[in-house]
Formats: sequence, C-alpha cells, structure tokens
Amino acid sequence: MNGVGRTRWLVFTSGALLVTACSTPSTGPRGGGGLAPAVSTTAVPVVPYERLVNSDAEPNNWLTYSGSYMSHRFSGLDQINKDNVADLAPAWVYQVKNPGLVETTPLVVDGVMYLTEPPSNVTALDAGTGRTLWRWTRPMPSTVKNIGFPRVNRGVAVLDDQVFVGTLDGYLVALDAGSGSVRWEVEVADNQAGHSITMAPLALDGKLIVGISGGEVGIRGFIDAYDTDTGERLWRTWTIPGPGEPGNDTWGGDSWRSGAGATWLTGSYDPELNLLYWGIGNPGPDWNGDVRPGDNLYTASVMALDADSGALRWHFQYTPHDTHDWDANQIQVLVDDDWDGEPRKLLVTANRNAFYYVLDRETGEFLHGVEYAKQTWSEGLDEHGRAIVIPGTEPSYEGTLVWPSLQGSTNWFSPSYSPVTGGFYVAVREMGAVYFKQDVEYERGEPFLGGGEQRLDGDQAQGWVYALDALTGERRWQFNLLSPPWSGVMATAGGLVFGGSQEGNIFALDADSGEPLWSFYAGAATRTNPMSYQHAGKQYVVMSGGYGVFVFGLKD
Amino acid sequence: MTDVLRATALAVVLVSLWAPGPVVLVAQDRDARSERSMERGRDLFAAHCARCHGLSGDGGEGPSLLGRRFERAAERSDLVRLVLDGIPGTAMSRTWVDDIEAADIAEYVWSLARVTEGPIPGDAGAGRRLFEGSAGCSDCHIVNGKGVGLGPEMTDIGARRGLPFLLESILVPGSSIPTGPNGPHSSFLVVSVVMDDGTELRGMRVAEDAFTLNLRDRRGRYHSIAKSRVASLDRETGASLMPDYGERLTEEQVTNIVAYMANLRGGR
Repeated sequence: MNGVGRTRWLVFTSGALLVTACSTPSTGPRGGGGLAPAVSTTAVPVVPYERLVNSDAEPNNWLTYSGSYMSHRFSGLDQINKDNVADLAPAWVYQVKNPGLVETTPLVVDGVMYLTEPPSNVTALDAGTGRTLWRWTRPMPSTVKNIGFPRVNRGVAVLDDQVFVGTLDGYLVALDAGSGSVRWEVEVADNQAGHSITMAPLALDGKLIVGISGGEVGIRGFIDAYDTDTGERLWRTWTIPGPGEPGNDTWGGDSWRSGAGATWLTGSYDPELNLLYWGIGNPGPDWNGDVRPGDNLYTASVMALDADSGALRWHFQYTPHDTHDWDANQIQVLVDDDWDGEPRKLLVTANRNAFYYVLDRETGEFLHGVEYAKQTWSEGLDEHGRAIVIPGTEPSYEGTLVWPSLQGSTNWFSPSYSPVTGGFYVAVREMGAVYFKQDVEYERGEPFLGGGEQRLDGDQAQGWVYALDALTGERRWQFNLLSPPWSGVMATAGGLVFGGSQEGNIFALDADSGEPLWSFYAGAATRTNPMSYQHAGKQYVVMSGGYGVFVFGLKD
Repeated sequence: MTDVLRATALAVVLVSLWAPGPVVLVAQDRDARSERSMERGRDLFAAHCARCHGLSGDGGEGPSLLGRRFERAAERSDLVRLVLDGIPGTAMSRTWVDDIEAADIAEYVWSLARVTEGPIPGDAGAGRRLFEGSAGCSDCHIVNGKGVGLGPEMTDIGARRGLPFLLESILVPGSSIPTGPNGPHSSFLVVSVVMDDGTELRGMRVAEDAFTLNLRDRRGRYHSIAKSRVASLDRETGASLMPDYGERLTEEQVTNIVAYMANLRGGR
C-alpha cells in the first residue's frame, strides 16, 4: 500500500539502548515482582489499510477514532473484567501542555500512543510509560475563528507511516509517524469564512476523509477525500445540493447558500459496500426556520457516499426542517445482525433529537425507530421514519419550552455497541430548554444563529448511561448521573461499560446490569471518549479528565 | 418553579412598596449615545453570547451575568477585553466582533451587572445590629471576617445582588438558593438522606456526583456519604436551613436588614 515501501527503520526505545531495527514489540521479562522490563523496544508503527479493515483482529491496538470502521467503540480485550475491575488503578497520567478542553480519543499503534491536545497539537507517547516521543505544535493565533464551539480537537487518523490531523484553522496536515515532521499540509476551507476542523479524519485505502465545522456560521457543508501521499483533493461532496441538483428544491429561495450542514464528526465505513456513512449537522440559521422553508436536505441526515467518487448513494433525514440545532453528526454505528430472520447490514444511531433509528445500510430503508430519551417535540415516527411534529414546539420570539435542549439527548461523544451483549450503550443528556427565535441576516464569517436557548440546568436536568437493545432500541438498564454528560462510553469483552461524568467520575458499569463496579475521581469534568489497548501484556483503559489523560491498568 | 415565581412576585411587590418608582436595575443616567450602544449590545449579545450565557444573561453553560460583580472585570474596559480575547482555560473563546461592537456588548453586559443605584430604604445601622444580634444572622453568615461560615458569605453581597434578590432571600430563602463551586448545582440545597442501616442525615449539599454525596449539617459538620449505601435521598427543592424570617421579623426589621446587606460592598 501507499507509504509502506518507504517505511522508516526508526525505532523507539524506552530504555537506554538504541536499537536499530525491530519488527515487533519486545515485552521482556516482567518478573514476579511486577517490575517493568529494562528495555521495551518499539518500531515506528506502520498501518496499511488492511490493518484498518481488520482492526477487530488486533484489539491490542486502537487504530481509528471509533475503534473500527463499524464505529462500535468496543474493545475486544478482557483482561480487565467484571471480576477484577475493582482493582483498576492509574498506571500513568499525561498532562496536556496547553489549557483547554481535552476531547481527544488517543490512537495506539504497536506501543505508541498518538493524541491531540488543544487547540490542534499532536503528541506521540510511549504507550507503556506515557513519556513523550515527539510533539507537533501548530501555532494558532487568536485571529483563528471557532464560532459555535470551543478550541478542541478529537483525535488523529493513522495510515501507513503517517499521522493525520485536522486543524482549527481549517487545514489537513500529514505528519511523519516517527518524528512528527510535516509531510504535507493542505487548506481544506477558509477559516475566516467560519470553516474549522475539530474531528478526527478517517483513513481509507490511500485516501483521507474529512468533514468540516461551521454550522453556526452559515457555511455550505461538505465531505472531502484527499490523497494520503500528496494531499491532493480527490473529491468533494456538498451536503447542501446546489441549483439543479436533487434536494435543492427543499430550500426556499437562495437559502441553500448559507444552509450549513456541517460534517464535524468522524463517519463510518463499510469496506464491502465501499460506502461511507456520514452524519450531517443542523441547517443554518439554527433556530429561525422561517428563512429556509422546506425540509432542508441533507441537514440533520445521514449520507451514504461511494468512497471512490463521493457520489451520494442514499440518504435518510432524521429531523426534516430542524429548528433546534439537532445535528445528526452523532456516530452512525454499523451492525451486522439478523432482521426478520435474515442477515442484514444495519446502521443504528441514537440521534440528538431523542429518537433511536435502525436503517438498512445498503439501501437506506427505514426499518425501525423509537423514542429513547425524554422529548416533547414529536408524537413519534411515521412508517417512513419521519417525526410527527407537535405543533407549537418550534422556537418562538417569546420562548418555547422543549425537551431535549439544543445540546440534544446525546451529542458528539460516542456510543458503543457490544457484539457480545447486543447492547447499544449511550450517554444521555436529559435537559429541557426554552428556545427563542430571532431575526437574522447572513454575513460571511459571522454567527448565523437566529435565536438561542435558556436551559433548565442544575437539578432540573440530569444525565444517564442507557443500555438499549441495539435492534429494538428498548432500554435494558440505566445508570444515573448528576449532570448531563459530555463523555462517551466504551463496552468491552470483559463485560464492562466505561464512561465519565461532568462531576469528574470515571467509571465502569456491568454491561449486563448497569451496576457500578468501579469508579475513580479525576477531579475535573471528563469530556472525552474512553478507549482501550494492551501493551506488554497489560490492558489499559484511557479517559481524560480536566487536563489529564488518565491511563488505568490492573495493579501488577 | 411556581413557588419561585410566586416568591419573586411577592418580592417585587414588597420592594415597590418602599421605592418611589419601579426598582431600578439599570442606571437611568445614560445619554442617548450609550442607550443606542446598549441596544446594539443587546442584539449582539443575543447573537454571540446568549448561547452560553442565556438570552437574558441569566446563565446557561456559561455563568449568569445578572446583578453581580465580575471577578475578571473591575471596569467596563475589562469587559471589552474579555469579549475580544475570551478567557483562556475556559470554554469562553474570543467573540467575533470588532472593537466597537465589543464595546456595545460590554455596555449591555455592564447594565446587566449593575446593582441598584437608587436610594436604599431602611436604617442600615439598625439592620446591622439586628444582623449581628437578635436576628441571629451572624450565627450562619460571615461579614468582614466575623460570624459563622455556614451559609454564604455576605461581605460583598450588596455588590453582587440587587434589592429584590436580597429581600427574597430573607423572606423566602428556599426560592433563591445560591449556587456554589459546583456549577449550577447549589452547595446550599437541603438534602435528606436515609442510609441502608437506618441512619438519617439532613443538611446542605456541598458536593454530589454519581457515587458520592457530601452534606454539611446545621452544626457545620461535613458528612461524606457513599451513594451505594443510601436507601433514600430527597433533594428538598425550595427548602432552606435558614429560619423563616418572614414570620419572625417585622417588615421594618426586614427592611433594615436588607439596607445593611445592600451596603455591604466588600470594604472592611
């Protein structure tokens, strides 16, 4: 594959020795006393596309943002399990070097951890000790725009011997995996017009897929593919159809021009179908739908794109004519299971609008949908999966109380699917808001909101981790959190579900019952997704809290 | 919610009985230019700030801006700088406006934060004697280093809160439970707990998360409670450990205590 031929025979060593060549990590004797090995040697990781396709076969590593192209955020490791998780303890902690919100999901490849730090920096760590191997820092002047979201980054992609990061100022950068040196960089879109990148890119076979932020600035959203060797753009698919294209007639007048439809979270991929599944954000302006009559395709939808050409194969719109900022960027989870007695390729998602959906991911056919969290805007879904809207629930000049709040029943933080339990685990925000509408005119690079909300917070709101049946959406159990969370969850083959809270708890629940089995107080809110890897025979679970990236393992 | 509204209405009625006109939260001495600036600021605030601070400035993901003194902005010009630069290490990024628009936003936010400037009714000296004496306020509140630190400190309460809030906090203390260091979750909410061994505890919630609850009882003792051992937990919304001063004190006494509190501006 691309890049493999130029693999650097660089080797990282944790000890004092400098080793010149090695193809596999050396674990070394651990000894009965639990001492770390004297020398642990790691070659510069190389991740050909085939490893990404078969990521389930190597649970020791975490190769993509959601753990696999299927976006299960499931760890196949079971060293940490229900029987011993009570003994979980911090192995090491990494502190990010710039203050800011830490929303990164680290990747771990063959003993090296790659994570991003706010605003758009990349750091490579020794996955066994947390020591820094290299750091790449992107200057980010205060003139760089981030309208509608904080200065965050959610992680990198790896392919072959390169690490890829999207930046707040709207660039895509390829770094050498062994040194952090820049191989190439390309401007994806003009930051001064409101474009920005906070998501982890998705690496496919020789190409990198990236989305864009800017849903509160009235951008015209898109999904791009870039050649991973050169940075050349291979294709761009707009999320808002232009004149003459199907779907443009779902926008009144010229409103499509500022229709938003940002693509700010990492999508999923089915290699067999060669289809990408990407969640699309809110229409612009967010809360005043009067200026954009119609369904506003393809906002608040999932788009299924041919990965080679970017051509749209099918779409499904979760919230037609959204007026509550209910993006559909949440992770689209791919599940293979029986449906009506026949094996079927499914796509399931817990949407920000409080409904859970099951689609056929070959055709986009709506198979099933159900309310999974508190909502007051819809009577339910019709036979085609379209929400039956309760009149009077749109934002108004005087204010309209609706559940969920604009942050939705869930948000960017990831759900998890366990093929072991068949459970779909999701962190849920139960909060209402009074939505207001305001008049607004589009101005390039300026906020394009058309209203706002007053949230019912404090003890009027609460958070949950729900376990849903992945096929029916029915709730199996629930675990209560004090505040609506900003952290995702991860199920494991050890029968656990890891998560975090706004109060600073990092915890493990029994995947079958929801019973809490372990918790750790991180001292500050967690705003990230858990991940897991195994290094030198030891499983670790990673979750951030405050400025710390906490890495937990069983005591030796 | 309904109780809070009722209490607020009561407070407004009572305050308007004292004051010659409506309660003045926004200074009246602005010239036409600053009025226009403030109107522009109001619109800009809705577009840029309300997503976090609420359309009325009463808070959301960001803090409330109403009737308070800003830790990071002693002057209006400091607010302009905060608007333009944001606050590093927090969710507040720089706001995408030009210098003039930032000044307009600051003008409006400053108006939200202004405490009452009109004459304060009542006898502050008599209020102080009550506060420190027979009313027993100092048994729970510290002013200028004196008193007991069980309830919120009052040293600069007059700079942070307006008259209606102060009055309401005495007459219907449970309706205006102040928040604490834990964001929108009040550190003074009354919580009753029954443990699985039958032990009963009641106090102010100091901290709470999914696993742990910290209470402080009337005697000032802290209790750390494992939620896994809790049989029942009642968050007494609308309750307060404060005595019912609406029953204990005359209207004149309440007026005097409010006058004393309104004059507490942080000086010692």
